Amino acid sequence: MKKLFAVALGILTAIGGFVDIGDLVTNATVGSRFGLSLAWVVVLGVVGIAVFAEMSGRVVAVSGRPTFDIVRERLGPRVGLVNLFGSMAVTLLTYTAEIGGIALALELGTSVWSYFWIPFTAAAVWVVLWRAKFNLLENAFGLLGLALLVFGVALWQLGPDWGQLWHTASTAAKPSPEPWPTYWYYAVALFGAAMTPYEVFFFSSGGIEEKWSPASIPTMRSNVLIGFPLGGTLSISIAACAAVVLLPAGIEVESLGQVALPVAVALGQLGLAVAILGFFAATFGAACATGLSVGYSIAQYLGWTWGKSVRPRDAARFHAVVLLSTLLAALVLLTTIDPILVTEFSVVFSAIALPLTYLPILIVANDPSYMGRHKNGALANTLGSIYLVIVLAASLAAIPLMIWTKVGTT
Amino acid sequence: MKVGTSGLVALLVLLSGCVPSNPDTDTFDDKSLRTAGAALSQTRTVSGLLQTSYDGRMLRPTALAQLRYSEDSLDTATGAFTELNPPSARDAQYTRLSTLLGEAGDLVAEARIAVERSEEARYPRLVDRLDALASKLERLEGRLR
Repeated sequence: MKKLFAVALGILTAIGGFVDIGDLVTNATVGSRFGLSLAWVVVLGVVGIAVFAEMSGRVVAVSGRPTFDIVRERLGPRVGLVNLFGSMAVTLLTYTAEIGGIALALELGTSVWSYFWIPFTAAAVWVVLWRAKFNLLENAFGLLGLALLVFGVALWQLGPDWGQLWHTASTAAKPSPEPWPTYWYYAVALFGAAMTPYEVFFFSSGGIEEKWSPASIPTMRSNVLIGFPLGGTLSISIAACAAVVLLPAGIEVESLGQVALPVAVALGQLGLAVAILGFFAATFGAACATGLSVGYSIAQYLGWTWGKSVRPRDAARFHAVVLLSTLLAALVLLTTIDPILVTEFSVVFSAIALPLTYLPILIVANDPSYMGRHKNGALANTLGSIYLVIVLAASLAAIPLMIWTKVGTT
Repeated sequence: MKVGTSGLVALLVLLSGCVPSNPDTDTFDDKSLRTAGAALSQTRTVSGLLQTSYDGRMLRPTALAQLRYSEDSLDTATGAFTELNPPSARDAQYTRLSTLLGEAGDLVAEARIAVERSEEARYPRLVDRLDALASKLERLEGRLR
C-alpha cells in the first residue's frame, strides 16, 4: 500500500511538475497561431524526455552517482566542461524566466506591477531552496501544479468541435496565413520547451537526494512513462484552449494574462483563480528545480558536496552557487526585460543545447562498467539514437530559424 | 589609423540606430502587416477582457494587469511604426494605419480607466467600439497580406 502511494504520488508530481513557464507560454502561443497543428511536436518531445529521463534515472539508480560526475569521468574534463557550460547557461536562463513567471502570476492575482514582485519572489525561492526539504518542495509544488488541469476542464466546457481539433492535430494542417519558416521555428521552440535540459538534471539529481537504488527503477519508470505523457497532455490542453478561443479572434499570445483568458471565458472567476494558482505553482516549482539544477551541475562537475539531503554548512559552495544564480536572475529581470521574452529565448536556446546534454547520457547509459546488466537495451538505444539525430537537427536549425523569422514575429 | 577608422565606422553604425529608418516598399508593407496584426491582437484581447468582466467571469486584478500589458504593447507597436519614414507610394497606408493605431490606443486607455473605476455600464459600448475597430484592422491586415 505504501509503495502504491509512493508510485501514485510520483506520477501526480510528475504531471503537475511537467509544465513550466516555457511550456505555458510556448504552447499557448502556438495554439493561438497554429491551432493544434504542432501537437505532434509535444508528443515527440514527451517521448524524447521520457527516453532520456529514464536513462539518466537508471544511471543514478544503478551507479549511485550523479550524471555530471560520471560524464566528466567518462568523457574527460574538456568534454564535460562543454557539456556543463552549454547546459548550465540554458538552465540559468530558464531559472531567470521562471522567477519572472512567478512575478507575472502574482501580478495577475494582485494587479501589482510584476517588477515590484521580482525581489520578493527571488528571495522566496532562495529561502525555500535553503530551508525546505527536497521531498517537500518536489511534492508540494508538483501537487499544486495539478491546478493547471483546469485547462482540460475549460476545454471540455468550451465544447469545441473535437473532430476538427483532431483533424488539425493529426494532419499537422498549418493555418494558411502563417509561413513555413515560422511554423518550423515554433516546432523547434516547442521541442526545446518539452525537452529542456534541466528536467533531466533535476530528475536524476533528485534520485541521489532520494537515495535511489536498482530497486527504485520500477517506481522511477512509472513516474516517467505515465507522469510525463499525462503532463504532455496538459500541455496540449493549454494549446487547445488557445486554439479554440484565441485563434479565431486573431489574438496572438504575448502575455500570461492572454494564456488565462480562455479559462475565464469557459469557467469564470473560480476557474481563472485556479489557473493563476496553477501558474504560480508551476513556475515556483520549476524555479526551485532550475535553481537547484544550476547548483547541481556545477557542484557535480567540480566534485563538491551538494544537495538538500546534506546540511547547508556541509554544502556551502553548492548553496553559494544557488544564491549567486538567484541574485543574477533577479538583477537581469530588474533591468525591466520582459520575462515572456526571456522565456521565448530560453526555450530556443534549450533546443540548441540539447545534444550537449543528451549525447553524454546515452554514452554513459551504454557503459557496462557503470551500468552492469542495467545498461541500455536495444529499444533504449534505438530510441536514443533516433532522438540524437532529431535533437541535432533542432539544435542546428534553431539559430537560422530565429534570425529568418525575426524570433517568430514574421 | 586602422583603429580610428574602425571606431568611426562603429560610431556611424551606432548612430544609424538613432535615425528613423527609411524602409523600401516591401519592408514597409511587412512592418505594416505585423503592426496591424499586433494591434488587432491587443484590441481583441481588451474586448474579450471587458466582455468577460461584464459577464462577471473575470477577476478585476487580472483584467487590470492585462490591460496595462495591452496598452504598453500597443504603445510599443505604435511608436515603432509611426517613427518610420514611409515610401511615398505608401503615404495613404501609413496614414490609415497610424490613425487606427491612435484609435486603438485611446480605446484601450478608456477601457483601463473604466475597469479601474468599475464603471461596468460603459463596458458594452466599449466592447462594440473595440470590435468595430478590430474589424477595420482585420480588413487592413487582409489587404496587406
